[in-house]
Amino acid sequence: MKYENNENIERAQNGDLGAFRKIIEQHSQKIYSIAYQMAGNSDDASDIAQEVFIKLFNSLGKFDRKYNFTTWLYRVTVNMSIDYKRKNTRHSNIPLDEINETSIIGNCSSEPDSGLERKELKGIINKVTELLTEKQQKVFVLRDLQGFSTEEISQILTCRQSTVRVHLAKAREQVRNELMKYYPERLNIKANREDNR
Amino acid sequence: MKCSKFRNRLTLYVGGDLPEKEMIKLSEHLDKCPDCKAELEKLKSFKETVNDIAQSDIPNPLPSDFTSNVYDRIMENHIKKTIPKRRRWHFAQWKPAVAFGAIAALLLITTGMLYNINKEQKKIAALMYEQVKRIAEKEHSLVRLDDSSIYMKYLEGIHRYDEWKPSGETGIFVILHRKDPANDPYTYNIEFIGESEKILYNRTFLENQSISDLVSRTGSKDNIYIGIYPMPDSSPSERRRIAGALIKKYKPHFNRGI
Repeated sequence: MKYENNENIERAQNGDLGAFRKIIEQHSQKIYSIAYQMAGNSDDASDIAQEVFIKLFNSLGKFDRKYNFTTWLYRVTVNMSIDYKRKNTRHSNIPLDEINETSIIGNCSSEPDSGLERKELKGIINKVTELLTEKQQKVFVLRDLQGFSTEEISQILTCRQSTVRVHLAKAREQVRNELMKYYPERLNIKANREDNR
Repeated sequence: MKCSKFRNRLTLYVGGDLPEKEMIKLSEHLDKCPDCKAELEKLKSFKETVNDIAQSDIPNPLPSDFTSNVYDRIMENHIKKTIPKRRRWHFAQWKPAVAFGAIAALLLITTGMLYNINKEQKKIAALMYEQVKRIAEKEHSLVRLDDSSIYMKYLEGIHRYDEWKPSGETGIFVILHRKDPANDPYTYNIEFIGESEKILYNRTFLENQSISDLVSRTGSKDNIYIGIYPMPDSSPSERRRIAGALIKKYKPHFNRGI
């Protein structure tokens, strides 16, 4: 995980709004992306990302620079995403226009008919992640959708790697079982292809 | 070891999420066990599907005004926390149009559009700004100017002029002088206001005035500062318009006669 240049943090702690702006610019995309995977839609993700930076502004003075700032920021993000979802009930369905056309077209070159399926799959994953416990959800999003390592996740969630693995295994099992209900052929085609080699 | 013990670990093995020793052990087992290998292939296609989705599922772009929205909400929160309840009650009694005007005034101010703010809006905005300023001074997060400014709250920095590292931003810059740092550390005089497409040493204050003139006026270079109001993608006429309004308001010493 990238370690933060402490200079901006120190300057922001001393009241430099320009440094605080740089922190926002540096981290907003990643924070937004994590919030998006946690919340399942862009509007909520944007709200959550705003809340994260407001909290950061209010508590930056108390932040001890001997800790990893980025890890702390990601922890705040996943926790705020969970809080936000608890408070808001409009997160259950992903809007149809949520996955933008360019992302679908951009990824369809090898499998031209997979755009719609991908959209549906995302919708299913989104719903399935809501069935997970909060800890499973955090671990699944951070590991499988955001690509953090188990070590990084253990730092973000302040728990042991073995705990991360327990939640990850359960989360994957559950997501897989649900996907199998809707897309058994997709999950088996590739496996069969491998078997026939 | 029985297959069932390995099977439970396959969901982690497929993502390379087991400790190294376990990965090796499981790998050796997979070489010998076709059933577990078949199960692994199914898990691989599940993992590929999830990876596919993770890579292709891109949210709508973050709104371009995201950062300024964060700043606005920080200010709103300050106001909510700091305006005394009684005053807030009065505010709630004002006509909706006036309340709307106050919000509009704040928005105008924060985006640097300083014009056509009517008296009533100005009064309300000033009231709100006073609350923000009080907290800001306490937290050293904003600069108090030598006037009851309501315009300059988004100055970036401020930086000590001799320590400042220009990044070539587009916007308005303000050269400030701290008159009495020992007794009044948060009050600054505005000495010069300028604008530039690329704020660098040789294109800022120095273009019109020598820094030595300022040092001789202020007595020391230690208390000279620069603040920047970034206006990316702005046109020269937009910047000049705002800089002109600020100069008119603050009448900085070194802008006289320019």
